[in-house]
Amino acid sequence: MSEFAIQTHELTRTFGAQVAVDHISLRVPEGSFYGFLGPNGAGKSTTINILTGLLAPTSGRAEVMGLDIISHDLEVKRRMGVVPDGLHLFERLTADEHLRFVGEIQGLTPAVARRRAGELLEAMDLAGSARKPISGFSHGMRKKLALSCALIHDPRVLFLDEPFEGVDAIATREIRDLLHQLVANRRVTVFLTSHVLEVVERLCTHVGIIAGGKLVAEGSLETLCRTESGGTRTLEELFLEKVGAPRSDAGAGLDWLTHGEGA
Amino acid sequence: MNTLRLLLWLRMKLFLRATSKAGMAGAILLNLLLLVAFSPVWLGGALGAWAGVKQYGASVIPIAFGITQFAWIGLGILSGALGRTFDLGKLLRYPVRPRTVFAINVFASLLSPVPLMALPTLVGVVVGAFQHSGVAAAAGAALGGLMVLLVTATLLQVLLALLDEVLRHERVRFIATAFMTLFFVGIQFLVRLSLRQMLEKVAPRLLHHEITVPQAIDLGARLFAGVPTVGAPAAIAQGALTAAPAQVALGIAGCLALLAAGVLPGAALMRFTVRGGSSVGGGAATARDRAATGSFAVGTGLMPRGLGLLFAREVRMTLRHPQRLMSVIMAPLVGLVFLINARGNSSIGAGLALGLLASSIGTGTLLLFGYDGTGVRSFFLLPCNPRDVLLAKHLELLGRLLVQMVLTFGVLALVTHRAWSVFDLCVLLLVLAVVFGMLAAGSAVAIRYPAPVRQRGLAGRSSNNWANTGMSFGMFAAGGAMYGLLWLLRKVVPEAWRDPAGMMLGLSALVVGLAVWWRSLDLNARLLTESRERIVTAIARVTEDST
Repeated sequence: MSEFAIQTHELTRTFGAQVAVDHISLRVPEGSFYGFLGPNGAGKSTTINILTGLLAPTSGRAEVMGLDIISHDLEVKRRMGVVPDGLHLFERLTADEHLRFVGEIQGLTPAVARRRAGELLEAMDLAGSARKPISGFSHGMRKKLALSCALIHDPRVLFLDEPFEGVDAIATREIRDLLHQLVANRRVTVFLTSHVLEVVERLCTHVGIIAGGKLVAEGSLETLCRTESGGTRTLEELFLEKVGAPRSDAGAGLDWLTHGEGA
Repeated sequence: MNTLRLLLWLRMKLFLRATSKAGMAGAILLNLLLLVAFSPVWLGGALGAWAGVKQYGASVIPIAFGITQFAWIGLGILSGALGRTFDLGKLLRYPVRPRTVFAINVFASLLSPVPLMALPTLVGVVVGAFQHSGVAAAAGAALGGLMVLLVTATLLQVLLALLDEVLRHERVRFIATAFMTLFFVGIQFLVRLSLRQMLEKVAPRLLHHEITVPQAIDLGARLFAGVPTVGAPAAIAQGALTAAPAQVALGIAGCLALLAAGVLPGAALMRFTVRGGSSVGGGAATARDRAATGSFAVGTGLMPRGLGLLFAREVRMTLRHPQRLMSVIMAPLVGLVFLINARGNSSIGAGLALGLLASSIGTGTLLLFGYDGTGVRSFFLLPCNPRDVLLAKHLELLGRLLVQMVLTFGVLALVTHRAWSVFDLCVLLLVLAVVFGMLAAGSAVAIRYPAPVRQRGLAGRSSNNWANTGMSFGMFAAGGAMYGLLWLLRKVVPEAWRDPAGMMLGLSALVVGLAVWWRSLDLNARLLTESRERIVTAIARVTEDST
């Protein structure tokens, strides 16, 4: 078994002439909390969609827990849990039904699926809505249910695409603590994308930064945030440097807005 | 005016980008086919209106306008085909008046197939008026025709906006669908019981000149002219034909009043529906979960585990979805009407009823993934075998067909004590062969050209119009060919061999159909994996955007 939970080799994905993911080679150590960062349109979601089977790569290959994601797609999916960007729930099922369906299709016995579904709904504060159709759920409730679906089969790898987007502060803290325990106690690998750098800085042990479809930095957070002179820098400083963000001149050329039309 | 120009530009852009070039060509071709198929309606309407106005003058005009308007509105509401394409929820974030959007929708709906097919009738009225009373009459008839178009389009948009509001709660939608179903089935029986008797009484009187044609026309004209939305436009044309300027002026004033009365409440209704947060889901109700204590896939013990789970999910989706559930009941009811009405030739009735049941499966196949909404992503994220996903969906559709057949023929057997003939059995085998062929072909279309469900008024169908039309044509062509082959075979072979030969034909067709379907499962499963991006984009993202 490889020491890496996720590995990609020259992974590439194009959409017509546009190269969304450009020959990236990731190494995500097993049991790490890996933050995958990048500006809007950098290729984060495309990469996560390829790794989770929603998109096919144009070239290159990828392995999850040592298994090729194309030739062993079903085995890979049994080992991973996914909270994709956007919704993926069957609206007409109830929360309890959805969880039991996912649990059983992941190979759990009906009894285990039922027990875990109940426990997850309780833990996510959704027990009161267990028998209600998902169509009536709020965005935050859907996110929590999606995370429950991703966890019910006790996966070895978790892919979370913007898991905290649209979730309130209380739920964010609960989810964050749960993920932290999974990594610390169970050596589950979490691959997470987020725009909130503070969250990544607080949670992640490893970071990969993608810009323009290319992997521009990868390694442990500690190593990456160390400067050549021996000092440290924040993740934000590292991120801005690696993605080549220009100096902030917000409002430049918008005098009519910042100072009024007559300025 | 600037807003109007911008919205027209937006609408044109959305229309042009709504489909690929190949899709557009296909849509145009199928619309042409539709035009040919419905030529008896629009050509008949045009010729009838022309001949009627030319010979009998002004009194025919309200009848021509009235029939046009009633047919247009009836078809528009039932099919939901003239639905708005603007997302008002998005537009109302901008400083756009709802009545401007409403007016654009009214104009744009004039380009839909039904109004286009109504146009020849109105042209027929104009030509007839010209030949009856000259250029001024023709000009008046043209203005009256234009008003019919505008008033009807406005009225329909108001009714659709009203339906949107009334039916936005799923339970009401379900009740309304059930009510409409029973209403139309009831009409069929009424037609059978009363109209036929009435015609039997009136037709001889008409033939024996007890009631003259002008008298009958006059009666019809008075009936239609009493409806303001018909009477006002008709008054313009009639006034021009009889050289009565006051009547023309009154008609114009009436039409303008009707348009103003329609646009304002229509726009208000639209704004109300949007601000009210229209939601098809409406998930406040608690769903009862009878299987809470067992496996999710309760009752699917004979199936492999993965397939059983997917099948159980499909069944639950049908039981929870009013439109899917209604399709189980609707087709047998209409099928029964066919069977009962075809009392003179029960075999043709059985064929038609079976064909109708099969066609409901055809429509269902096109919506193979449409009803899954955002959940369609799960099929690709979970360890599901794509072949099992397809097979589960097909088995659910076949299960629905079985329930429909049992309902239709069970009720018929109870009511009429009708016995099955060998010919019926042959037809059944042929229909089943077509069903398996449809499952194969329809699934390929649903995967290659995925489309979300279009829910408007009482209609729920694939938003891929050309696929809907193509499937219907394909189905009736295949069914017709099979039926024709059976008919030919029974003509050619000696009488003693008719039934065995028919059975041989039916069985052979079924074996071929089954083989094609079974082989297609692998091919379509591969296609499903290859097309996952397209399906997610077309169904999950569109559904997300609309929620």
